[in-house]
Amino acid sequence: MKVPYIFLIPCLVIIFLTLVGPVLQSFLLSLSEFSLVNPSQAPVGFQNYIALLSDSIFWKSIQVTLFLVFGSVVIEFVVGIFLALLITSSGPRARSIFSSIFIIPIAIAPIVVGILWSPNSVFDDLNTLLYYGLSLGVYIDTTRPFIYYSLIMISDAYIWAPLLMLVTVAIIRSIPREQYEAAEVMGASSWTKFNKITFPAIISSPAIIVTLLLRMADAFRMFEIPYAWNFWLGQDSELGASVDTVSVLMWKMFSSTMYDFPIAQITTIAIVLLIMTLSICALVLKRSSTLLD
Amino acid sequence: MYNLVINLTSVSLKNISKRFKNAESDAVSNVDLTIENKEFLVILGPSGSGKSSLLRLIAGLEESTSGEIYFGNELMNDVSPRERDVSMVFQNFALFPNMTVFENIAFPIRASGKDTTNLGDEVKRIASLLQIENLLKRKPGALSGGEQQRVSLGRAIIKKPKIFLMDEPLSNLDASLRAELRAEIKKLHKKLGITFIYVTHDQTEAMTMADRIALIKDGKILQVDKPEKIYNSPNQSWIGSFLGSPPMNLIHSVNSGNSLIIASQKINFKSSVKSNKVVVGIRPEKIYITSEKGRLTGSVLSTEYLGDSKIINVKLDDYIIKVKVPNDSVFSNDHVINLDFSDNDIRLFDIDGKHLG
Repeated sequence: MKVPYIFLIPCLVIIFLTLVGPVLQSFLLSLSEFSLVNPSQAPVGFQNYIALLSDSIFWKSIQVTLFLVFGSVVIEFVVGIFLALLITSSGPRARSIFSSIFIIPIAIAPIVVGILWSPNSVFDDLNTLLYYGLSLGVYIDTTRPFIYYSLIMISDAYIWAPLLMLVTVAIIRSIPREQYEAAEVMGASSWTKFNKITFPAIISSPAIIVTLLLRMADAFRMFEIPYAWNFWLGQDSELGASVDTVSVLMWKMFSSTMYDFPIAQITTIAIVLLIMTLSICALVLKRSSTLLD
Repeated sequence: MYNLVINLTSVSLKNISKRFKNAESDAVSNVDLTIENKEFLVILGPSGSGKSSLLRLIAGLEESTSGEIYFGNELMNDVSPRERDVSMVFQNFALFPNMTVFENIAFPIRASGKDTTNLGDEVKRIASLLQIENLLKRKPGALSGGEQQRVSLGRAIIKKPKIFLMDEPLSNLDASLRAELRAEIKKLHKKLGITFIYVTHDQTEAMTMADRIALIKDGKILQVDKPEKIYNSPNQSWIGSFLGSPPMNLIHSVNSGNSLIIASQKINFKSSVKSNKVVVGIRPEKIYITSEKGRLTGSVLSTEYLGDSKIINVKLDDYIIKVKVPNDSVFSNDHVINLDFSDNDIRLFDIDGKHLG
């Protein structure tokens, strides 16, 4: 009877070494005083957590992260639905062309997207055109918070909207054709058909709920695009800059020579981020298990 | 003027054809069909015969390749389904899963932007007509198939259409429910007093409900007639074998005008039919087994018990014909029996299956 457990041991050892071990170690680290400059590890209890939770820079990065997560996931969802409608309502040839074009951004590295949508690569030229070329006297001021937050959200949506599109296409395809035909015979307009059949089917689908929650969990770790914007905005050496997400904050604390490489504090942030992401994942699992039953 | 109003809801199909993209043959081929006002017409055919396509052409869900569709005197070819003033019921019910039963039934009124002041009462009235008034707050997913189809009937009724289209509405239901809903749909037709066009592959449904049956095969209408007429006097041998269980016996034979040779047995049969080679069609229930000298003699091959009756397979030379007898008759295999029938029950077809004379 014990034989099956013996065979499980190698797997459990690997899981412990690669998954549980590092997390436990990080947790222990977050309960100590430790930096590269002062490498003697001394336990300090929850002092790092107390310090962190009373730090305004940390709370600001949490706010920035939540704001960007919410904004980019909403944009991804809306754009994804729009693209899915375009694909499902077009003919077979247009459909294959559209879907292969729309899917490309998924394959682009996020840091490249951060550069693609930067002032240097797009807006300098665009603004020259708008201001001088067309003599409109207006330009897009990428230093204004509304503009750069929007651009970060759009950049993230640029990568991930295709994923939402794929899931939405699958959902739309699974709606019985007769529902649309019944609605059409009953006198429904295209908008009514979308509003009463397509959209309810999309938002009540377990697939879309799980995808959205996973996207949110993933967006919490957003790093590359805000990282790139630190440079575009000239805030790369400033802790608590306006585009610092939690991940960017951690990187800045580590990479800057000003803070003694405070490993313990960074680990504390990592643990808090982990708890936040895990809570969302728990929500995903709970939602998906009740919906997929 | 008065005439026009009365004719308004008749449906005329003039030389209608439909060929789907990349298809090798027409799904619906040169169909001429007139459905009278307030008539219950059943379009009956095997699967793939084009019967659903024909209905969808009438609904406007498909565009015809050629031909004209008239409702009354109005040409409907370019009128969208929304404006055709028809209601349709589907085989898979096509209810909206995220709406309650109430909202589903109310949908046509809300979707077409009609006056909604008495909508609540109207929905309740229709729900009680269909005995689903206690289900109004539920969602379709929580209903049985029969209940779902009642809801979809309600949704079709509330629109007060001129024409009611039904595409195999009972095919997803079990047998007892089917019989129950058959009677109710028939009652509904009387009550509403509008034109019903009903598509099915089930001959029992066609026989029990139809004022007239239009038999369709390979996209072509073969015969349009009252159920009794189409059963007793099929104008093609294929209809004889499609309708009836067991189907009509079809035996190749030689005709002389005064006699027929059926499986090398000669019987007297006067007919005006000229052709020499014919196919004799006779229904199994029109043949009797007699102890006296009959017109044909054969040996019993096997017996099938059907509950209310029995089928005796009788071997006549190379042919096997089926005879329907009362369920308490006993015939042992290889027993030689005499068969008799009346001349009126014989129907002659040519070799290609067309009715002669």
